[in-house]
Amino acid sequence: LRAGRGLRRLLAVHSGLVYVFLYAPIVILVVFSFNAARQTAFWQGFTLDWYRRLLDNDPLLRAVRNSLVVAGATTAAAVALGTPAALALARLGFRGKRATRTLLYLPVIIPEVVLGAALLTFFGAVEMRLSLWTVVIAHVVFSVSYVARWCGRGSRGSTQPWKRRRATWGPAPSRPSGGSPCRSPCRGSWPAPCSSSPSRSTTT
Amino acid sequence: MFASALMTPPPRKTARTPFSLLLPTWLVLGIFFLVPLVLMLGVSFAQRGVYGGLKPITDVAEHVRSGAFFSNYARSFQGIYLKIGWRSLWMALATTVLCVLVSFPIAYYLALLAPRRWKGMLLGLVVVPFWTSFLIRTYAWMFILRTEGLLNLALLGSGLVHHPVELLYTQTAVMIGLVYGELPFMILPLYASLEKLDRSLLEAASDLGAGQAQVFRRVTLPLTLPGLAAGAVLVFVPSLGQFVVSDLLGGARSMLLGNLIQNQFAVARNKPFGAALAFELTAAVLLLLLGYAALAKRRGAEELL
Repeated sequence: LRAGRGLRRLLAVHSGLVYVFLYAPIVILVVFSFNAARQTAFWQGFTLDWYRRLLDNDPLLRAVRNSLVVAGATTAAAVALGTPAALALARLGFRGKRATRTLLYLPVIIPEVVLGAALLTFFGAVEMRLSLWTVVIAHVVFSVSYVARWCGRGSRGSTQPWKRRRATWGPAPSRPSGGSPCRSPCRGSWPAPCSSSPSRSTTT
Repeated sequence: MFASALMTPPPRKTARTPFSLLLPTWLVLGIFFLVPLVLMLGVSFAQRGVYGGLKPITDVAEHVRSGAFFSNYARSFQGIYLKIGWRSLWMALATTVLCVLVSFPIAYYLALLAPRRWKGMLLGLVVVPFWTSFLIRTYAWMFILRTEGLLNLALLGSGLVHHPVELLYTQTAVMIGLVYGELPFMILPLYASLEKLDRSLLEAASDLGAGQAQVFRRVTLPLTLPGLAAGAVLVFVPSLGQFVVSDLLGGARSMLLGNLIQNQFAVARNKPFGAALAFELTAAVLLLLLGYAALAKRRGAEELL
């Protein structure tokens, strides 16, 4: 392709800068976890002290355990509940298929804060005490959508170059053109589409 | 959208509905998604009670006639709330534009110029940061943007500024956080679009005498519009409902609609008002997506799912 040398170089530099932008916060976070200084961004020597303190910090460890419980329970529940639906959507044509699809889009496209607010209202109304399990339920609601939408199909959206391989479960029946809208070529279709937390989970 | 999908006749060649397979999902989404939404819609027409609960409605007809049922929605279009709404809209729009400006060159490079051997890895590297928690990455930005943070140290050290710049808890910080969070959702669809581009068209255009700028403007850009549109929706919609970024990086003057909703439920204990705001946000998102779907159908834009 004929792109001027200068332009090519410019684009390469720009791309490099984008990678710096994407990775700098993560790298900095990791590097400074070894910094002896407590507050400042100045480097005051290497230490593993923070990690030792982490292991002594009970509330923090409990929080880690909670995260693991929520992630594990959500994954198990979402996969168990959503896989049969994924199978049906990928393999069968049936009455109500489009409605089911639309229903599955909704939790993913509706802003998280709305889903949270609605569930809070609901739990209040049925007098269910808020706990880790209500957190799990909230996660299952949108995770089950991901499972049911993505676990049954390998290649559909042309926006997903890494998904060109044929579906594990054979080619899915073709979809009526211009189906319902939804966010996400990428959300949830990342290399492990069945995992429970497509990046946006803020609890864990 | 849900209702219209329900009402459209099913395709001809249908089998019996496999209830045994679908029931678990239907139940979960019915009980913990549709019912709560309907409940919240109901609440949005109520009024706050004395202790943060709901004021009992004794006379429904009177409640409707007096316009009280609409008071939350009316209130959301006044003063400070309207301002926050506009700010959310404006910030989401700015995020989208910035994402396009940053993403297009890198997507172009990845799709058309990058050495073939590296392509897969480079594309993967765009996605990898998003395997770490969004919350933690946002905290990292707090560390960088603080007054005595890394960025200020670098700026002071380089002599570019003489006093630390206030970055954290400003709209600039929120903007950085939003762009940071949404960038891959723009890069990936753009990449997909550019990757599909028929390179011989670009060669033909330049063989026929078009300059580089002209090739870009008249061939590349029009052919990648579908990816651009898909990316724009994918960035705009979540930005509109965002509340984590603005909560951590923003100050009082960068409160967004998402924060306002969260506030009404968690702090102000005015559920009806919060519910009304949540429905306005949902309506905005759904309208946008329906518009996009209509456009996609007509113009063959990328489907989002």
